[in-house]
This record gives sequence, structure tokens and C-alpha cells, in this order.
Amino acid sequence: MDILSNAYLMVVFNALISGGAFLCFVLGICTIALKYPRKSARYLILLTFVMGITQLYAWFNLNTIIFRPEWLNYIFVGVNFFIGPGVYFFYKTTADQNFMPDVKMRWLFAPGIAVLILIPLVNLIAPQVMPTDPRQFFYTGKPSFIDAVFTLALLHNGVYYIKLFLVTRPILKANKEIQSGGGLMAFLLFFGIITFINLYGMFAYIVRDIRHFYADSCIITLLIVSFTVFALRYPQYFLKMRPE
Amino acid sequence: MDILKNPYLNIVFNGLISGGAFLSFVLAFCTFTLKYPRRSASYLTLLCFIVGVTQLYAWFNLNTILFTPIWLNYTFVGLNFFFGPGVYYLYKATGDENFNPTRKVQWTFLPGLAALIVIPLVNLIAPEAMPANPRQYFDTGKPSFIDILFSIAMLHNSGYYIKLFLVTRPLLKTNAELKQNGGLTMFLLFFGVITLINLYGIFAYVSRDIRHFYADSCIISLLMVGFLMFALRYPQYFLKMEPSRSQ
Repeated sequence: MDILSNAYLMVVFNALISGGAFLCFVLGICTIALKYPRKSARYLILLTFVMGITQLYAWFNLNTIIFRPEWLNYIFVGVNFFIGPGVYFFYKTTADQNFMPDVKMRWLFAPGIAVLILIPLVNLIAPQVMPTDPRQFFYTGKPSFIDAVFTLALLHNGVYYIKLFLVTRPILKANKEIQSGGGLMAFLLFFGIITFINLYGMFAYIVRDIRHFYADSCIITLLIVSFTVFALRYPQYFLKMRPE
Repeated sequence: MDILKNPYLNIVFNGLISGGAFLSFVLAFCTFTLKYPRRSASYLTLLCFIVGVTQLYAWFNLNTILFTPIWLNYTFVGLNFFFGPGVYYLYKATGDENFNPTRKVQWTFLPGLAALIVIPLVNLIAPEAMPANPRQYFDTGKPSFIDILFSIAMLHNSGYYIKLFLVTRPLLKTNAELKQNGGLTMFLLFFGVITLINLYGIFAYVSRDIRHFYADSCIISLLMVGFLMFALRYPQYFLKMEPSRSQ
């Protein structure tokens, strides 16, 4: 059964992907509007907007909404480079309120900015290399430079998740209080899900089946929903009642 | 310009209404799973869930998704009766942590329950009285008993909003602290928005233009966004960091 030609499953995919995009943007605006933001808030804003843009483009894609000029169809590629460092520093600032971002840290966002500039430039200089339909690879099997850059973004983010795992797990494991409070379990769960999302994106490329990308977007939505549930259930991690 | 025929505006309507429904269900789930729920949490869960169902039906309507048996298209009508008492007691429980729902409070939800039972019963006993399309009145100008019931629901809710305004405003106005920290402004804003939503729904019926109903749904979505923003900006009103001593 082709799930994209099934009207009911299309409704479910549409609802989950567009709902996820909406929720991401709403969470982003809510985090901007926090009265007493924690140090992690800026990474949370970045991540929610990046996720929102990615989900929005998945929805455009699912509904064959294509823009001109072509580079407008690929804004999500550049912003996806921000997910890796964003997640890494979000985790560090959540765990450590005294964490200070230095200049070196800002450079880690440079690849994303470079790609955001590069794609419109390529569109201007060599428009013939730009795929007119973002699904080209999945339909024809011919990868474009956009597919190569997006795969690179997934690998780049993968490296940050591995770094996060290697650096944070031993620290959390050594802390008996965190272990008994379920902190280690929450970390492993969070780590497991984001790694799975990343690997599943690569798998979609390998098997050349775009439905896995849409399913990946649905999983991202469920992750965002779980995050919202967690943030409201345990407000002490992300919200402050008053300034410190 | 007919905004429903404009594909871009249709996308905006679809995006806002479906997004609002999604957000409402997520918020209902979130308030249901709170670790240390405040007294108001149960009303909040109820309201978020009802808003979600209403938005979902607005979205079904916008995309001409119709169900059989026919009564399945009108579940939102009965649920809408819960808005008035839900909002009223949410406000009371938020303002007073010692608020105890009495038997009288539970009875105020009875009209909604009755409407939820009556509609499937009418469908069973007199199926010819059921409009096959929820937009029948807007398309033909012929109101069905569903339209009358829904109009009653909105008037019933208005009664609670007026009661809320008359009871709570004088109390808040005498409280200098609430006046200073913006509590009074927040109350008036909240009251103004829910009253506007209700009046706008009635106006949609009077003007027989279904686009106003869709626009009303979009305003509800923005209200839900505004509510979440408020709940996170001022977590002390709806969230608790730890259990209270009485628990």
C-alpha cells in the first residue's frame, strides 16, 4: 500500500506535520516571551524555529508546494546545520546555569550560515545545478548538490550527538542524585530519540523512499509534543518563577 | 473576493484552524499529565479538549469532511455548552486555590451532557430532522434544530461570561496589588476576547456568512497561543514546582 495515495493516511501525515510546525513556532514565540528566561532559552528558541522551518518544508513537500526562485525551497538545508550545535549547547546550558558561551562556540554555527548563503549564490551563478523539485532524488535517483549538502548536515549533527553522549553520560552516571531522579534515563531517552531521527533521515536517503522522511517529520512532531509535556510537568528545568 | 476560493487564504485558514486544534489537544494532554496540578487544572484540561474538538470540527467543515451516521458531525454542539461553566470555574479555581466544586457546580455541566445525548437520539428517532450538511443554514438559509441548539449554547455561555464579569470585576478592582501587577488588565483582556469570540459566532449566524465562523476559529487559535504564552511567562498561575503542603 502506498501510504501517500491513501487519503486517510495523508490526512494523518498532514495533520502531524503541520501541527508539529505550528507547535514549534508557538513554542519559539513563547520562549522569546518568557519573563525570566534561563540561559538555555536562546538555544531553545533557535531549535524550535529550526524544527518549525524543517516541519513546514516537509509539509510544503508533502503538498507539492514549490517556490520560485528555487533556493527558497531549500532554506531548511542551511538551518538544519544548527540542530547539532543547538542541541549540544541546549543540553549544556540546561544542566549548567553557569555555562558561558565563548567566541569559539559561535563559530560552530558558521557552517549553517555558510550554507544559507551558499545555496542562493549557487542559484544565482549556476541555476542549472539547482533541482526544481526538492523530491528529485527520490523520483529519479539522481542526487543534486542539495542532497549532498543535506546529507552532510545530517552527518554533522550526528557528530554533535556522539559528542554529547560521550561528554555528558559519564558525568550524569557519576551523579547518584541525577541517577535516582531519573535524569540519566531522561538523557538517554532524549539522546536515543534525536539520534534515531537523524539515522532515520539517512535511511530515507539510502532506501530512496521519501515516505520515510515524512514519517521522520511525524516523529519530530511527537518529540516536540513530548518536550512540551515534559516542560510543563517539570517546570523547574525550563521556567523560572522569579529572577535569580 | 471570496476568501474560501483564494488558495493562499485557504492555506492560512487551514493552517491556523488545524494548528489550533493540534495545540489545544497537546495542551489538554499536558495539563492532564501535570505532576503537581493546581485546582484549576481539571477545568483547563476540559476547556483545552473542547477547544480542540471545536477547532477540529471547524477544520472538517472547511475541508467538507462529513461523517455518517450524521450525528457524528455535531459532537461539538453538545461540548460547546461546557465552555461557559468551564471558563467561569476555571477563573474561580485559578483565583482561589481553596475553591471546592460543589454539587451545584457539577449540575451546571448538565445542559452540555443533555445536548450530547439528545443529538444522537434525534438522529435515531427522527433522522429526517438532521441536516446532512453542517453548512446547510449558511448555504440555504434554512435553520435546523442543530443551528438553534448551537445558538442556545452560545447564549448560555454568554450568561456565564456576564456572570464572571459582574462577580469578579468588582473584587479585582478593590485589590490594589492586582491593579498594579496587571491582574485587572489581564482579566479584562481575557474577558474581552472570550466575549468577542462568542459574539462573533452569533454574528456569523445573523449575517449567514460561514467565513465569519472560520475567522472565529482562527481567533480561538490565537487565543490558545496567547494562553500558552501567558502560562509560560507567568508559570506561578498555572504550574507548580513542587506539591503544596496540603497535598
